[in-house]
Amino acid sequence: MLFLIAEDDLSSRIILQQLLSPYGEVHIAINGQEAIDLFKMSLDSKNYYDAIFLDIMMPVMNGKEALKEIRDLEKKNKLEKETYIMMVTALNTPKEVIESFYEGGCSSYTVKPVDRRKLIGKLREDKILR
Amino acid sequence: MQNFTLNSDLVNLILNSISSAIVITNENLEILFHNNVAGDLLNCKNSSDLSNILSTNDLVEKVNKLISHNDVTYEVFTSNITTLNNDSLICNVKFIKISNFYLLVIDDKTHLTQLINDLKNAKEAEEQAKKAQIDFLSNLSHEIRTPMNGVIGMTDLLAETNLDEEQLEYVNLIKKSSKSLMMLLNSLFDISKYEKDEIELNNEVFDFIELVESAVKSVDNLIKTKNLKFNYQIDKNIPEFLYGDFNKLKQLLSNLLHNAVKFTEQGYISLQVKEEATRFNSSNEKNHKILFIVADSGIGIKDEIKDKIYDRFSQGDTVMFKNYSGVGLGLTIVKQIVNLMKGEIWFESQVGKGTTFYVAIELTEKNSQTKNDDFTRIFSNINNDAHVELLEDLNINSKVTENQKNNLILIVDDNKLNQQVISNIFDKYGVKYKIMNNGLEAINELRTNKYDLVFMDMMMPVMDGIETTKIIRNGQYPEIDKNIKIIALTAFTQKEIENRYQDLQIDGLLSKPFHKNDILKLLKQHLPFVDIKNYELNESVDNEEEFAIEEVLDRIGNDKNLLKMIYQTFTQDIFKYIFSLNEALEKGDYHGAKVALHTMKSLTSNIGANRLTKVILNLEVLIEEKSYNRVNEFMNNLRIEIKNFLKVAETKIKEISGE
Repeated sequence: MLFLIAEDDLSSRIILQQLLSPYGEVHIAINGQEAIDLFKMSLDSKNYYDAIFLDIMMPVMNGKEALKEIRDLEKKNKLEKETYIMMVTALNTPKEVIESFYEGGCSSYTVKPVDRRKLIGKLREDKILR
Repeated sequence: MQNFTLNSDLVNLILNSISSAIVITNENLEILFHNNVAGDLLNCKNSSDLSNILSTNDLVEKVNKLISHNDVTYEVFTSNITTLNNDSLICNVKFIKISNFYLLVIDDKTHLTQLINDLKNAKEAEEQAKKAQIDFLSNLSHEIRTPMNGVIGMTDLLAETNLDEEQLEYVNLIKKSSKSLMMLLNSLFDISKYEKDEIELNNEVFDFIELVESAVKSVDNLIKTKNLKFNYQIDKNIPEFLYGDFNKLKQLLSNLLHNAVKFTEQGYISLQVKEEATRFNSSNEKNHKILFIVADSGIGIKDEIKDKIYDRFSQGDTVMFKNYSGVGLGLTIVKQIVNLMKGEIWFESQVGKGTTFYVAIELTEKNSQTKNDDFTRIFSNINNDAHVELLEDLNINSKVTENQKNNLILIVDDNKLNQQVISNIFDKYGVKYKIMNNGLEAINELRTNKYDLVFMDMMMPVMDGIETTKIIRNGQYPEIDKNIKIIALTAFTQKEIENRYQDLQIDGLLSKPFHKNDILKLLKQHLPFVDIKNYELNESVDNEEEFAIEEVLDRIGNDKNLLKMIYQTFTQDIFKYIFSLNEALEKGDYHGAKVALHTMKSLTSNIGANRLTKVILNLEVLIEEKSYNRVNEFMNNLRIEIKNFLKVAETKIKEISGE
């Protein structure tokens, strides 16, 4: 399993990383732009991510922009299937989540503070983890 | 007997009456004789035509090759022959060498070959169509699942907004419908994976009774809606923990039960689980052959469709299709799971009387199992809706009320998750309790210590709740208060319990899945001296917990090191964020302030600084509403709360580090 986390807040980054690390390797980006760079590298090396976690609000490039860019890159590179992308959101930003679903094509979302059971449960439900 | 000799007329007659073409040549392949069939077959009127035909085809070449090997006297080969009027024939040729002559027996196999090829093609086409169908199903269900995730996610969010009763009802209906659509899509997806052999068993040590109970729970509501009688029995010889694929076994059992309920309008459904045999496997572990028997009093299966019931999308006959919902994937999946587990499945059925399905599967009893396994499993099954609901219920943030009386509650339940759920609630409200895993342990405990209330699970290994209750009530142990209050923990309703165990004297009933409020209500009712009045959530800052450490630990899988890391991050970053917030506010950059607050909120909610988070939320609202004049006031609150939090947190973090 290979995960990518894009999150500007260190504490949220640490939590996600710690919760995911038992299941595989975790790459870290601190904003959308870094996430795009890492995603491009994964395309080059064909070492694709099994799941990507994008915080919605980030400096430099936010999660929604990163999501769109990743989907564009996937199309351009004719990837067989879309990467599983989970938006990480604060509970009071439903508008952003809705936009991510319908415009950006994200796969799911989780609400901060991230809860281990909900996160892992969701990933199992979506057949990312077995 | 008459003397019999073959004269040349007779030979001629015979040669012309058989259906094969016969040609006899000399060593130079000049035709000496051919029968009429040879002429007819190759459309030749005389020997010279025939000679031409034979020499222009690959037949001569092949014959010459055979002649060149002196020792060949008999050979059969296939030859493509073009007749005089240009028909292409595929012929079977027998070559026989008789002294200086060659005999060729030619049979036209054109039609037969054609037929075989057609059949082959048809078979291939069918296989391809089947594969295409599976691929289509798999892609389709995947494609629909993706937007469905959006629908379900949005419905969840929608349900959390301010809705009136009618709207909420509609939203719940959307939820219900999308959930059943999702279930259907998942089974389609599963089927395609099974058919492509992509599914593997995911074996683990699991609690057998929990398996049965969770499968039963999945049909519980349906059974109640249809007013059917239901009972299940589990053989006591079956070990508590077995090794196998919990989720697939659960799917197998619930599909069988669902199927039974679906085709039963009145009467009963029953589930019996028996141990059929045991043996030791090559690693010297005990294998238990478990027989699951699901019986119903439904419509039964007609003889003519008995072979088809495991087929995809078949559901009895088409008439039935109209009366029974679902698309008929349930038994297909059951069959595939049984195959995967190398088990057996069979059934007995009588139209109008009912059907009984039998599934036999061998499961291993692992010699050693750690508690850790069990713990991981609890988490891995947390996905289970009811449990998630329960655990979400527990995430409430409440104040623990001081508990004056020394009341003690005994929880008797073998299911670790249930234990966890109830004890979490009791912990929150400061109620003292002890946990026992079965009735026998409970009896021993009750003989030594005094309790005010017993929460007793009905289904337990070793000694179940029914037997335990009877022992307590019959007063056979004078040291046990035989009138002690007993609350039954069960998936059955009060009425079902009364019907089932008429003599069972219980004081109350707690239905699974447990809800916090039901538990609290029972406590109030039976232990009125316990003060649990102030548990309601309050929106104001004062009622938020300063540092919800338990909540955080619960959220991060009880990882204390991780908690310390988050705390460390907090102490480093909070001031950085405050700094950028201040800077933004001073510049009047309210968008920048919102971004800073947002990031800060991630940090404070991660560490469980609930009161602080609430202040930040208030600040966000103020800025959103452009009530900038009150921002300063709240900025002060923010600073005070940060100080308070650091003080409280420092102590608590030290406490857990000191352990």
